Amino acid sequence: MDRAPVIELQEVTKDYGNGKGVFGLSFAVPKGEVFGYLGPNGAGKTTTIRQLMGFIRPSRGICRMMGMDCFLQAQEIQKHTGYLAGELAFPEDMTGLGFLKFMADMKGMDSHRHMESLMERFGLNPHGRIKRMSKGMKQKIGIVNAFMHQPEVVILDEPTSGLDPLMQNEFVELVLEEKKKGTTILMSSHIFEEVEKTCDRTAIIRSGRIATVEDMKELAGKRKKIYRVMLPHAAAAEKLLQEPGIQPWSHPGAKESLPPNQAEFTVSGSLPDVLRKLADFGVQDLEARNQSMEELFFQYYG
Amino acid sequence: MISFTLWKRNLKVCTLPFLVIFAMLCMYTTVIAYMYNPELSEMLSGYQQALPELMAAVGMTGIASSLLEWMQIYLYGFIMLLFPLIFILVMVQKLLMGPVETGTLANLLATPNSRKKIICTQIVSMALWMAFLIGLVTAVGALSCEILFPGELDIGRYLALNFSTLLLQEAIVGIVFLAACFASSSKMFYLAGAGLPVLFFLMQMVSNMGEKLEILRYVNIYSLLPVEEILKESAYFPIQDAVMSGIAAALFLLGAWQFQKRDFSL
Repeated sequence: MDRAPVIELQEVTKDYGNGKGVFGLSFAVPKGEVFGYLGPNGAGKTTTIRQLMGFIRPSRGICRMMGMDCFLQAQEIQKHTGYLAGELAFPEDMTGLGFLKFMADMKGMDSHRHMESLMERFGLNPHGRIKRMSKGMKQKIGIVNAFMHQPEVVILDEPTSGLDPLMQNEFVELVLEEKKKGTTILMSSHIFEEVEKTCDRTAIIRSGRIATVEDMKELAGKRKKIYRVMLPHAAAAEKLLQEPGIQPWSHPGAKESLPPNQAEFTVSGSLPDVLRKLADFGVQDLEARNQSMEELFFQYYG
Repeated sequence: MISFTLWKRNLKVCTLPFLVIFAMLCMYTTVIAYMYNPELSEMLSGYQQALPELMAAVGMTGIASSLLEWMQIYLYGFIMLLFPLIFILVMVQKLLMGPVETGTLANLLATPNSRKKIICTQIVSMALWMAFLIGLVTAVGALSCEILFPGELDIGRYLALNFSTLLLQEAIVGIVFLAACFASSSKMFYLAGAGLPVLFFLMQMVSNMGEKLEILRYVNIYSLLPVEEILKESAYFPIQDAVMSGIAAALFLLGAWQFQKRDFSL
């Protein structure tokens, strides 16, 4: 039973005309997996999530959670599902606490214990009207709301937007804890770092179509080490990049161009040989880093 | 079949607009009751002779030979039709259109409550609010008449008139509700939800003014208020009551059906 996917999309299409919408989406998320859903703005992340939540009905294809139809059996699915919207809309006349209590009642929760511990954890001061709250504070309310009934599946649409770095880390911790408990999580994002830290697999969506689904561990294994060196002059840098065992490095999303006396490369030969060569070239500075997830993914973004 | 939690919330959300409209209606009702005297009635029928179109347009026709007729002429042609409409528009905006447009409906749909349960709760809340409004105004009206002119008001027929008014207003709630179920923006909602009742109301005013335009009466929901039947023929439950109930029920059902099947881009 556990082997059946918790979230399952088969050829899901929602066509809004003018090329807007999502087309032929297919993927499955097994129980206990944290699944990343990455893509630029307007790619169709939220449209996918709306279909999972049963707000909209796919024009074609099958959209299921826990084996149930996302639109027709939404009520049953919601019993076990937590949701954080990408664009939070709370009734502005309510206080944070008033809203969370209202939602707890609507969800039929008996105890507020978990809700309170989450509020404490995220340093949420829920008194005061939502209208006057900052974006980050509202986001915290949304996170508490999504997790407070200890759901088996959680759907998160850009969960860390508006959070400060400290709270982003706290959120990553929470997701990792939930993963240990066996919670299935689908999380849309455009922040590579957060996906890298939490997700087992990640789908990349572009213009309404899945470009690829990558296993994050495998992807991490594919990462290259990138070296950046500073040499005495530009001619030396040029010459260095032609040496055997040295591959010049560039990627399509590169934003900065290097100063002429610097070079970025990957090593294909033996590292000691390359280091010796660098010494001969009179290297002034050396920096080594891992290829970022962003650089890995950029080929799909374009 | 309804969510009690949501119902309580609905109660809170509409309290302020309810109090405002209720206060206005109470004021008008008591003032009109207070003004009742046969001499003034003659003077006002003098106005009706001098400015027949204008008085007719606001539904003030006929000579009041009793307190009940007086109340009907000066309240149930204009004030008891238009003020509840304002309340209906605010109420439906707060309970349905607002949540759809601002996206707060997403919170409700993301709970283990079916769309059916949510929309039924909203319908029950709206229908009850309206019953509450007309019911309380009726009580205030009856009470002030009893205090000012003991024994003058025909209570039975006064209740029948108000009951019919309630059914009429429930049908109007149905129109506005249906508009909210189909609209995805406030603009569309107000165009249909406010536009249609206001159009009916204007048609009522025009058709009151001349015989040539009387045809407009037959396509107008406000013409269904069975004033003649109750006042002149002493019918307590005229056929119009059944028609208005039927219209209200059909509009609510159609709206609920649309709400359950539509897409919400929340």
